[in-house]
Amino acid sequence: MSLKRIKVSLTSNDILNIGSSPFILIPAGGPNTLIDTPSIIMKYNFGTIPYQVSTANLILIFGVVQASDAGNQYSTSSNSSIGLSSNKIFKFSGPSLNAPPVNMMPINQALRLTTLGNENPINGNGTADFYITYRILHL
Amino acid sequence: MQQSGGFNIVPGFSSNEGGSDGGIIIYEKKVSLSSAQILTLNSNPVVLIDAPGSGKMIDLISAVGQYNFNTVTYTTNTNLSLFFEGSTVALFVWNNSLINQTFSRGIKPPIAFPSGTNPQYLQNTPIIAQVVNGNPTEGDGTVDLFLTYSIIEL
Repeated sequence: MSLKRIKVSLTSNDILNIGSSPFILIPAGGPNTLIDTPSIIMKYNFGTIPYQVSTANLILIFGVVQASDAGNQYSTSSNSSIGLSSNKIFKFSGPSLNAPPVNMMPINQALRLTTLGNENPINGNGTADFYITYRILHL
Repeated sequence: MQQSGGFNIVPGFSSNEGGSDGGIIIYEKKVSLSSAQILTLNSNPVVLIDAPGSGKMIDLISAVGQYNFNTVTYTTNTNLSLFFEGSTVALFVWNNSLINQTFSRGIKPPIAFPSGTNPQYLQNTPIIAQVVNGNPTEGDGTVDLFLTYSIIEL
């Protein structure tokens, strides 16, 4: 169960469709497995046009999108990430344990990037690199 | 900027990055802050982890703080924080929860929320300990920081 790291790069086209087509960052590990992610770093590479996302935050989820940010695995403000007009590197913080997701670590689910409400950004031409430290836990 | 002293570098677990199982190297480091260092931790931050080199970045996975109370608690400016040098967005913050206490305690803070527009992570940059706004005005305890991190090749 050693920790591993993968780099996943998203194109502008991936980001523009991130709401309707959530991007799989880590595929499901198989029956009776959980994905543990102690570190998820996003490197946003600004192009020439920032993305516009109304109020929907970027979220990283296992399984089903919850009704609010508090119910999702990880989230960050779009205005503090892909809505910027500059490069930024940051780490996703985890959910509040005061209001954890209904099923915080569902079994055999992929880690996906999407937006709250599945809204697609408009405009924008930057890219993003994810550096994810993770391990597969076998139950 | 002060250099940290009195620490150990412990080889981490896991296999070499790129090894047969794709594991990464995890480093563990203990840094002890003296009372004199804490009392000047705003004006003279302490370097905890040196810059890793061009094209690389430190991934600070976990930070545990152990406060060793002595006889006088620290007052004012007691938000002990970890930053990449030059960044204004903290990685971890002991929000008035560690050096202002009247007893010894250990706390592992959650990852700080990366709000705002400024980068939280910086390439080829050391990680420092600092208290924000100003130096503490008094206090004589010490702090041990237990850091777990890896190096990312960007």
